Amino acid sequence: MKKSKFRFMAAEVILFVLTLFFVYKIFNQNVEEPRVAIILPESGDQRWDALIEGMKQSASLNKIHLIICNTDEIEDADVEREAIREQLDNQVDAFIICPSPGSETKEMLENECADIPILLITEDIYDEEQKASGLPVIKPDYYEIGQTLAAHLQEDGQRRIGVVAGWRKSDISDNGVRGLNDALEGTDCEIAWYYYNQKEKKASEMVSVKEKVDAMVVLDPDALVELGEQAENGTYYGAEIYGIGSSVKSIALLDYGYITDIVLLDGYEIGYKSVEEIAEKLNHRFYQLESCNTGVRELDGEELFSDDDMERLLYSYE
Amino acid sequence: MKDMKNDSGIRKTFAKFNIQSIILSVLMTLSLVTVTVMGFLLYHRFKLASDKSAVANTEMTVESTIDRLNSSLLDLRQISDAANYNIVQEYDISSQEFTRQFSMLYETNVDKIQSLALYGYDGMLIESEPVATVKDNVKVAEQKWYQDARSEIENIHFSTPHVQNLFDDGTFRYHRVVSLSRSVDINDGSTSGSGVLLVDMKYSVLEDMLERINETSSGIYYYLCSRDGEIIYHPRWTEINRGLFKEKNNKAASYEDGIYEMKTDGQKENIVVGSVAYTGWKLIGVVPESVQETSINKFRYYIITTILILVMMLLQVNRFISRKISRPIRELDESVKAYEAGAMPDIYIGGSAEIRHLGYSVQKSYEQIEALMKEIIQQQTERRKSELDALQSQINPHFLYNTLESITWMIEAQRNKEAVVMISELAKLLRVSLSRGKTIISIGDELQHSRSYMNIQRVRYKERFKVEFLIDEEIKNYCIVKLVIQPLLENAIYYGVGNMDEDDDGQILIRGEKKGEDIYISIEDNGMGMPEDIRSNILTDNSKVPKHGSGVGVINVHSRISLMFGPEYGLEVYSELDEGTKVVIHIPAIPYTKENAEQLEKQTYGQRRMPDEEE
Repeated sequence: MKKSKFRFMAAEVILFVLTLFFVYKIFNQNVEEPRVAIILPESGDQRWDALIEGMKQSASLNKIHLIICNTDEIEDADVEREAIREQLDNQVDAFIICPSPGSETKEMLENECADIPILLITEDIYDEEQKASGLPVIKPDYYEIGQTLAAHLQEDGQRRIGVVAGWRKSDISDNGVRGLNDALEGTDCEIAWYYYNQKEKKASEMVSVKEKVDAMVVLDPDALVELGEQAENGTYYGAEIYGIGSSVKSIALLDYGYITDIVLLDGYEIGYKSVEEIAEKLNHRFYQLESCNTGVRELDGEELFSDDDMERLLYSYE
Repeated sequence: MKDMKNDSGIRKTFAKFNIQSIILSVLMTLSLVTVTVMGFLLYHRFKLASDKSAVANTEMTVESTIDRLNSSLLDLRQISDAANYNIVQEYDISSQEFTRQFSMLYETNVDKIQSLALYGYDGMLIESEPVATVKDNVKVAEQKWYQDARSEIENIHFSTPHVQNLFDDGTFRYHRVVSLSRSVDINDGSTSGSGVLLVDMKYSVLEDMLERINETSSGIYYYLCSRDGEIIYHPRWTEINRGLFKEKNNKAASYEDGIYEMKTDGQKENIVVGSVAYTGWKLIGVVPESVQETSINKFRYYIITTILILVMMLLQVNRFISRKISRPIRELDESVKAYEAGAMPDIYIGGSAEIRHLGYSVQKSYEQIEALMKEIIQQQTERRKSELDALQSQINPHFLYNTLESITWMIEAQRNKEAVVMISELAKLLRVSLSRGKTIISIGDELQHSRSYMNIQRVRYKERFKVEFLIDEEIKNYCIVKLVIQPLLENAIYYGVGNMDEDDDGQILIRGEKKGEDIYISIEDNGMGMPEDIRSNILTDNSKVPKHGSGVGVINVHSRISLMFGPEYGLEVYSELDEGTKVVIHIPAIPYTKENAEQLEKQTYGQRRMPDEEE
């Protein structure tokens, strides 16, 4: 074949290949958004409103399709496994999971989600020796929250304290209690008892039979609302309530004076950052998911509406 | 000077390519430039139209949304007017009818308003719908809507959206509302006073309206702000509050209604500003530069695909055109190259008129060159022949004169027998000399001629020397130029053995042999020889060689052989003083045939051989 003819054929082939490429680009514009499954216990609960709002905002910016799984209480790893398998059947690309209580959750997640990115939110998983899972997690610093609450107790001159710590062996109960204890060590405050969540038992009922104390520190946001509602109904015995809140209802209970002080988790930030992080991973195969701590807000019932900040905060919780 | 260098550089560059490549390159360059420029203009035009259309659509959306906002706010105002003129001013606030009418008005507009309330000038709640518990520690008089109504009693005041912080409705929820407050006259039994009428419109009325338009507009977004730039609604308000997104709301709020271009982080965006009645709020539609990215990208791919297809087609068409144009030129070039390589001049005639003319001209030129070449060769051949003839003619008269003189001398001396022999030998010699005018004869004939000559000379010299012929029989049938041996024999006699006594045993030895493709005939005498300076010039410088006899020296013989057979052939002379001289004739071994002899005569023998040799 003559040289010029070869060059001509080569040019035609290159042009043809380029044409095919651009035709493909024309018909391949509507690329399906990556699908990310969100597994939260009681996903319809108000406490997730801000978190889901943050997730939705971030998802629309990062072009992620969110699948928020409809779940009830997730009490252990087996229940969570079922939800994960259901979503794996739906061909999801990644998971954002609030881990179920119990150290066996880590193994379950590693087995079920071996080939798929997974990001934990709100809590990490700890083993029997209080060792963190090593999985990427976006959550607040519960140890610091425990210390903050302890500072409030001291400021208000509380002496005998009862602690409602949530599920045993969870991030909140372990780190929150540790922070609280460390901060109260050597002070006048004395922790009279601890209560850990028990299956099919209400915290409000269980603490009512406990020894009377001056104040209760409620580290479990659900239990906080429960106790606040009990106070609103007038069935509560009177100890002042301090705790971790995560919903508008907890703010309202504070506003109406049923709760003394809350440290509010920034659910919006957790949701926003978690989707942002997982989107980065889905867009860049070799990106390593990173853990980070989110902020919290200390709310005092008396100064709740003293500035515009509250307006802004409530907006993200609605 | 520089331009000339550039021109020369361009010329050299073009010289590397053939005419088809040059034509194709030029056509493709023109095509590419045209197609690219057209594609760019088309793309630019589409982008402009697309941007314009996006802005126009945004403007329409802003206008229609403002109409709906105005309508909602007008409703709110009408509710406030109805509450004021038809209820507060009509009825005693302590009457049941007042409460009933108040409740009825709320029920009628429950989809729009969150609450309807009447406060006294001391900030105490007089009436509210829906009935709810007043929150503890709420200082109504410190709230902005209340203060606005008290400070400007003749006006109706619209607040910006805020969390209603008045009632505890037991839902543990906060309601965002837009408050419309006004100072009203209150009729309380016999006394009259004043108070503040509050109509709280549900924020969701505005939010739903604006969310709807934001949901349906991909990329373009709309937000509402007060005249001071305070954001009332923004689809990304939470992100703005948290510093995750920045909006130029203050700058945008300062604009009058219209379309403006703004730059945010280096990105151009168009904004459409429209004002809402009663409140001075601004509805702002933002059209970011990237909004049309998807459709623009798609169009960009269309344009690129179209350009690529066009280029593919143009490459085919241009190649066809360039081949069509260049083919006659290439054919002509090929035929000229073939001619240059030695083929017959069959010059291509075809293509356009100019190229046909060029073909004709080249062909004519070559024909003329051919004719001239033939003419030159013929002239050269003739010139050489005439030169040979001239050389030969130098021999015959001189020798003839000497021989005839010898015969005359013999007859006078009554040596008739010897004279007869002489005449007989002379006849043989002349026969060979004449050879029907031929220049090429066989070696056999030439030797016969030499023998005759030597027989004559021996008679003349009274056999004072001996002559011996040692000739290989095989060489006798090869070609030789005639009369080349005889002059050498003559020289051998005159300069060698001619002057020797009989006792000196003068001898002339003629040898002939074939070595390879050549024939060597040597004439050797044992005469006095010659000095080296003469020997070395004998074949080149005629002036230094002493002439004797016929005056035809070895130079003539050497020239004749060289002219006939080529410069590599001729004579070789070896001599030593008092020892003798040896002259060797070196000629090619060409069999003596009629055809070869004729070709040698015509000087065409070598020419015909050439192509064969090349093969």
